[in-house]
Amino acid sequence: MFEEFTGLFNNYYESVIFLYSLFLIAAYVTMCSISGISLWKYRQKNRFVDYNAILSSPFAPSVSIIAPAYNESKNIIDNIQGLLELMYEDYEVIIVNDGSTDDTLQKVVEYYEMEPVNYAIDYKIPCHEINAVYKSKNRSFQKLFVIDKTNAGKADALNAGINMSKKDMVVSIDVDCVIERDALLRLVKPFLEESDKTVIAAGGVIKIANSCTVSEGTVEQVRIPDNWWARFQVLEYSRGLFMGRMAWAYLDGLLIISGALGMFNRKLLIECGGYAVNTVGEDMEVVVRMRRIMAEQDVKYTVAYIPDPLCWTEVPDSLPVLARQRNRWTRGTIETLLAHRRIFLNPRYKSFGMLGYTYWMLFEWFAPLFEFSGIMYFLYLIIVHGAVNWKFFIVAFVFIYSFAIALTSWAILFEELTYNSYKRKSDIVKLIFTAFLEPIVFHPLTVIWAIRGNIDYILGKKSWGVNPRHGFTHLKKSET
Amino acid sequence: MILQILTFISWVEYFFEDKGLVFFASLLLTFIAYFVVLIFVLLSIVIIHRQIQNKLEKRRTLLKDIIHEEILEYLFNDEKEMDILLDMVDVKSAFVKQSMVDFLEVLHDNLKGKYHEKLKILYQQTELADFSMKKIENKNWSVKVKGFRELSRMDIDDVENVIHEYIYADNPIVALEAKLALIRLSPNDPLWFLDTYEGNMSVWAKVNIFYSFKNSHVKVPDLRKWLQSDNRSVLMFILVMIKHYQQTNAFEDVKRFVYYSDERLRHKAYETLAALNLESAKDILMNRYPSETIENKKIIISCLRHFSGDATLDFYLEHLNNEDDFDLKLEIAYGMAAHGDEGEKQLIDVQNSKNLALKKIAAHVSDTRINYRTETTS
Repeated sequence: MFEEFTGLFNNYYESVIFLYSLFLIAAYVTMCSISGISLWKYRQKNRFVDYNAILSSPFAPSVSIIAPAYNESKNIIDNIQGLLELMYEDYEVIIVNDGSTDDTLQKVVEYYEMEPVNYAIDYKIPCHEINAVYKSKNRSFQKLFVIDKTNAGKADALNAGINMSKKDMVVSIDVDCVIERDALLRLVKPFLEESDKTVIAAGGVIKIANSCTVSEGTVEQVRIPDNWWARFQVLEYSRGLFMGRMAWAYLDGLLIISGALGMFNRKLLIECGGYAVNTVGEDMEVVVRMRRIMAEQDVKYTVAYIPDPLCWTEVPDSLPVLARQRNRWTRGTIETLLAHRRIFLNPRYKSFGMLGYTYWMLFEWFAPLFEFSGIMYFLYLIIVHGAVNWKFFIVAFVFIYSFAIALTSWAILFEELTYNSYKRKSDIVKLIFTAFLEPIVFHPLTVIWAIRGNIDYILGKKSWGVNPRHGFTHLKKSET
Repeated sequence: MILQILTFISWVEYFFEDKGLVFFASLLLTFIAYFVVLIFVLLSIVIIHRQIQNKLEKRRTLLKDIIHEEILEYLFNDEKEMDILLDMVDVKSAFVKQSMVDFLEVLHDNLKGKYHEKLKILYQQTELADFSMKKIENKNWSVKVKGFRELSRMDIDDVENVIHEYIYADNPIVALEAKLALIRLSPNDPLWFLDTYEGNMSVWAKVNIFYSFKNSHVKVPDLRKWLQSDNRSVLMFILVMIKHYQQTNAFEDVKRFVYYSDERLRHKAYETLAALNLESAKDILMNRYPSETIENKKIIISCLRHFSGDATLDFYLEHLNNEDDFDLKLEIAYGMAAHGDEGEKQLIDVQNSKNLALKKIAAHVSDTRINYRTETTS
């Protein structure tokens, strides 16, 4: 009886895994093709664009940049400097000191000659009380505002910034990122182009700055990271941002704008309630909620994504920090998907509900679970039955391995044919070599971290975890 | 082919005792072979592409230096250099021609007088104008657009009729680029295409038309005639243009837009009326205020800062107490602050009042360290 049951279970389980893998591979191949087309169309369309047209145009919207800062003492001065030198006419920079325990605030106040002002804030979106608003005595820094508030997390800090902002668009950024000089011009363009739809948000490609030379808020020399964990993430980001998000934007099913850099229509963001403070995946949640509200109000809308590298960030280069980050990403994804579960396969939400949400649920949330269960099942076959068809296992393994490398090769090719950030031939060779190691070294770890994220979600864990940065100045020294 | 497949299957069978797996394993092995080839091809393209790009870059830099040197020599020293340039074009390398056109465009934009003309002559005599013209005939829209840009930047007005055909092109980028080219090529009536503008003009189109118009240095036409347009987006565009170019003679025509049902159009009309800075706009703005939406009330208050007087100050005071919207109150308080000593005195009274929200607003507005310019909503 038991043997009959296990035999039946084995058959069903193997069929489910087989079909799931087939769909996953088909989804990846489809996305790869779509992103290729989309990327090509974007390049063609923007070949002659003169972004100077936006500068000083009376038709260009104004922009508030909001950058929450928590213990960012190492880079804060340089990074604010970078933000103050962006190419855009009408913009303000709001740094939100989210109760830093280091000398972040003191450094900014001293360097930028700031003093508290009587700024009246309308709390349109609920957020923790703002202790003080600082403004510089030096007119060269008149675009800069600093909010000091008690620590309540990134989402709450962003909401405080939104409450203070006065411009048409809101750009949320991580203050430890380096933003390209023309990032605002490029990000604002999709909002200007659409005449029949409302663009609610726009995002761009995030690049990895580990081992790059950064000076005064600008990336001067691009290098492949020396650290292997960071190097693996270069490939992961290329696949995810160049291929995944590009394809989803094309299908109008994009669910996330990276928290590192995203532009939002301020009025709509406030109407939708700003960032949710009860999730660790606030960047995904806000996009999903805005899309949901727009669809429920029958507003013609879209979320834009541009494949231009606009922002450089330092990624975790140690396993414990990386594990915490991935754990948080998983919990954020689950929280968002469950909070908006009514979207799942709901035709009212069109491609966003039918395709985007379904994909994220099946292939972003469930994929590590399926993969992990597959490994467990494999071990069970060895231990209980003592018999595995090793020849077939090797063929199947090589199939998956070669598919993974083929996919990464496409991403490397896209990168090379479009923005070729890595100019040195040695960097390309390093990237290719990393591609061969990634599926067997890095990928299994991402599965474990995702499983831990699922467990922590069930246990109700809400923490962000500390993500210590080396700081770009340190990187520059090591380069020189 | 069939023989090869059978050989392949028999080879797989040799390894797999379980016959049920043979088909599946064969399929996987076929895919593996495909992926391996694909990886090899893709990565080879990456490496070869990089090498070619590096070599091309070196060649480009070298060639550009020669071309630039020759053109500058022709322009400022020796007209005989024209022969050398003609020889260079004769090479028939599209790259050489393109490099020359690109450089000519930059020089043409930045030089005036006789040099301007000399460049145009060079462009035509070296048949580079024909090279650009051929681009217009190309089926690829991006090549076509490049042709529009080159010919218009070099002021070749003979092509006006050819480009005109494309202003209603199905491809919106081609249609927009044709219009931008015509702005430069029709200095007497640069915005004539607005007469028959079809569809909704995107903000991107407005940004580019304005930019092209501004950089063409053509005479600004009387913009009033387009205030008769049926196209809402054209009206919005023209209202901003009237405001920007301060066409005060359009005041009466703009006035009627404050009674339109379209909120955004009224918004633009208020801004334009205020920017034209005619005293009679004050009464219109104040009269319209009670029936307006919160957003438009904000813009009316912000526009009223252009006009002083006791009546305006009383108006502010009345609405500061009656309105509920925070941003609107802030705008009103700013309006009061803009009224000199009397306004500031009133703000001090507000600061001493018992209304906590108003006290905060008054304190904010009175704090001159908060830069006023960054405070205004656009």
